[in-house]
Amino acid sequence: MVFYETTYILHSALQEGRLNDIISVIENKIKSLGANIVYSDNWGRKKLAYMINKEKYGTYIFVQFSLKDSDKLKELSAEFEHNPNVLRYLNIRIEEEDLMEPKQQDKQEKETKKTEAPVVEDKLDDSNNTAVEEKK
Amino acid sequence: MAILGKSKICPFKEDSSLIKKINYKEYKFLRKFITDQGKIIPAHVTGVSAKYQRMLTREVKKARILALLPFVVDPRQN
Repeated sequence: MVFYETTYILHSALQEGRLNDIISVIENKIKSLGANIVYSDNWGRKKLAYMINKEKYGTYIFVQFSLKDSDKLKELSAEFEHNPNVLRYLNIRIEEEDLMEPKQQDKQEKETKKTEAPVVEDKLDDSNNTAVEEKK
Repeated sequence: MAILGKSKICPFKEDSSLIKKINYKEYKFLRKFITDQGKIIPAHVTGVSAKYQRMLTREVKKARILALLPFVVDPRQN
């Protein structure tokens, strides 16, 4: 079992419905490889640091999944390459501890984030936690 | 942008909770380690130890691929 995370940038001009269609197409593609999607997130529309295909903006989508057969990742890359709505993608192999917690509902999410954060940091010095949070 | 002073002490050894921020998703944090032109600041300026400088460069390069950070910023523009 291997864990991956993929970030891809979609065309920012897509309509809401069309965007969700493409996201589901890609998620179905990931599932069809025998992968189990652990976490997915939409980072929203962001300004690109430089132009890609003459586009200044892009919608960032982030997915983490586990894959049994790592050779299948090439098929996912092929899907991204052939999909004209994907401006850019990046597949990265990660360790199991890098997986994010599955998303809760919006209200709960904020609460869990607060409670989860210290749990992750428990391994590190507790005295540093407060200092970092203050900086935010 | 990247003024951490000329500290001789590695910021990641001082505050180990910063280590988990060496990640391309934390591109706003990584901005501290690149110049206005987009270059990665050498470790001897920032005081980052070799171990964490390696991690930083890798993550900055990932962020560049995703257009979260620039490859170059032309100072004549803007």
